[in-house]
Amino acid sequence: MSNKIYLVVFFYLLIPYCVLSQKSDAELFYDFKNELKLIQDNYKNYKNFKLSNENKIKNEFDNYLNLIYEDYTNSQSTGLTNLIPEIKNSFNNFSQNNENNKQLFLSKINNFLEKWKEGNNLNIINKVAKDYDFDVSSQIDNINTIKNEIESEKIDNYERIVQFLEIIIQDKNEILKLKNQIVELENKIKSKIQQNITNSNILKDVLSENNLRKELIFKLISTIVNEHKIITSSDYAEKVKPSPFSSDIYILLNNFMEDYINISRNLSIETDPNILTTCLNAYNDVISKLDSLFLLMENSNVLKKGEKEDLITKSQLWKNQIIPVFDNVLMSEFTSRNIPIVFFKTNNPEWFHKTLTEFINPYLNPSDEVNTDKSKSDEIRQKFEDAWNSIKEKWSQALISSKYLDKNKITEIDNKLETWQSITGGSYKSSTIIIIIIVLIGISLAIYILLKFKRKET
Amino acid sequence: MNKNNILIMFILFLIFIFSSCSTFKIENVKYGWNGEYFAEPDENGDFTIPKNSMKFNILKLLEEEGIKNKITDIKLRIIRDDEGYFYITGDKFKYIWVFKTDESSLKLKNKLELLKGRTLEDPKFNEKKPNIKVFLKDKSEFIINKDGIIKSENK
Repeated sequence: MSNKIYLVVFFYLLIPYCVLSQKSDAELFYDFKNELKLIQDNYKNYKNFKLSNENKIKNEFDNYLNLIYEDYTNSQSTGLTNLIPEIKNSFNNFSQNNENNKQLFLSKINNFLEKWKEGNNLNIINKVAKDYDFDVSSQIDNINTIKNEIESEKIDNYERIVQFLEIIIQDKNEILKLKNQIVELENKIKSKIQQNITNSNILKDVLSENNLRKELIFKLISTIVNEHKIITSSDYAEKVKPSPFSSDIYILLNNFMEDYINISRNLSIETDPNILTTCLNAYNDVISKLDSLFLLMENSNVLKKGEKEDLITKSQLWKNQIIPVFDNVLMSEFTSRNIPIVFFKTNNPEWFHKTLTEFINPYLNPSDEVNTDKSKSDEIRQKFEDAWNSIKEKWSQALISSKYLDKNKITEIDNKLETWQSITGGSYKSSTIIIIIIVLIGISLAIYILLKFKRKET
Repeated sequence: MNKNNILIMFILFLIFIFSSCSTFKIENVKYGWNGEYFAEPDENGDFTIPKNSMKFNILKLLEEEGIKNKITDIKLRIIRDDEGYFYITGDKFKYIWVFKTDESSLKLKNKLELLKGRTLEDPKFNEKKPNIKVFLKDKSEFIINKDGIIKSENK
């Protein structure tokens, strides 16, 4: 206790010694230089602190991300929900530390500027500074610039990071649910395929389940890809790890396409147009979605090296299985009606439009030799129109989704057919009218002769 | 040529010789520093003033002052007035030493005893043109020049 009193007395005596000791002009100048250096050092420290804090935040973000991803393997875990307050608290501390650091440094700058503002002290140090070719005012200007810079700095409250982590935690439940649903459907569909689906009702059920499976797979992909986008946009993810479900995506997509290839093996020209249309729509939908997602999937490491190429090969096999059936169905509509059409068949879906126009166009040219026999031309037109109406009725949607035709091209063919009809049907109508006129003239002549004959008799 | 003429010729000759030997001068040079310089000498007693690129040894001075402290612990204070005289002192010194520059040497001009029979407690210099101000820890102030104390103010 007595030691403490001695200490207090000692410091009490020391205060006037330190504080009241008068300084020479040169000492004041050196004080200024030392304090200036201190502020400059503090500025470096401030920057270093910020940098190290940013690194800590990156690490913290990465740690939390790992923690969340590790928890994915444990579907029963409820720990993640409890993690949210900890995350908020942790990032709030970072923000608070940055704010405290800023305010502390600003107070040091303000003290410095207050001490060396215009007045006696500044005049003295300016005077001594001349001995050393030292520019005091430019140094004070520099400190003012630093002050402005620090004051205008906005301290991030890391709300976005916390939100990202919350979203990722919430995604976990959604992703797990989706994955379970997909796997359940996959098993169900596989077992039906193994039983050889020939019954069209069972096939319709399988296709409907598969459609749901497709939607769920793409929902899962977009959730994972968006999650990755959110993480990378945060600027705090040093090295973004792929979602633990990334590796499942390739397998799920591959299995889905494999199943569809197997289903497509049962398709033929006799298949119900609704079933074939469903299969074609599924193929076209998957291809267009994959086209737009491949880059994102690769960027987010959802697909590993070579997996994209594998999926493209698989989609090609699927195409080879389904498109020829559709082509045959379309061609059969003409061949079954004995229409002498030439098919310009290529891998490009536009072959169908070319086939139709190349066939119709000569009939639209009255001087073309095909129009020599108008009744034959008209007979072909009627058959073609039947085939075309049948195709439109059954396959309009499939033609458009498979990019064989679009609405404009369908209208274009309709218009060509009308023109064709006006050419062949027009000649038929005029001859009929002439015959009718001749018959009418004949009848009126007969009536006239009969009336004249009767008058003579009376 | 009589003797008087020879004398006049000789005097004119001497006047010519002396007038041609007079030194060329730049006057009104101000040597004064705006503030003192303070530092500790090195272990050899060499005291360096970087702003003047000047170095001298203070062992002889310390001997004169009778100071036996570790050399590197002694904070020396130095200032120069407008006339070019150096004023040197330090804590526990008895005198303010006034030196004039000479060829590779500082020549003692004066030593000022501010407090009779007492040492100076933490003396410091400020310029007080055309003189020098000395102030002590107890806030006593003295205006001095090379010749002595001009004004003394004990607080």
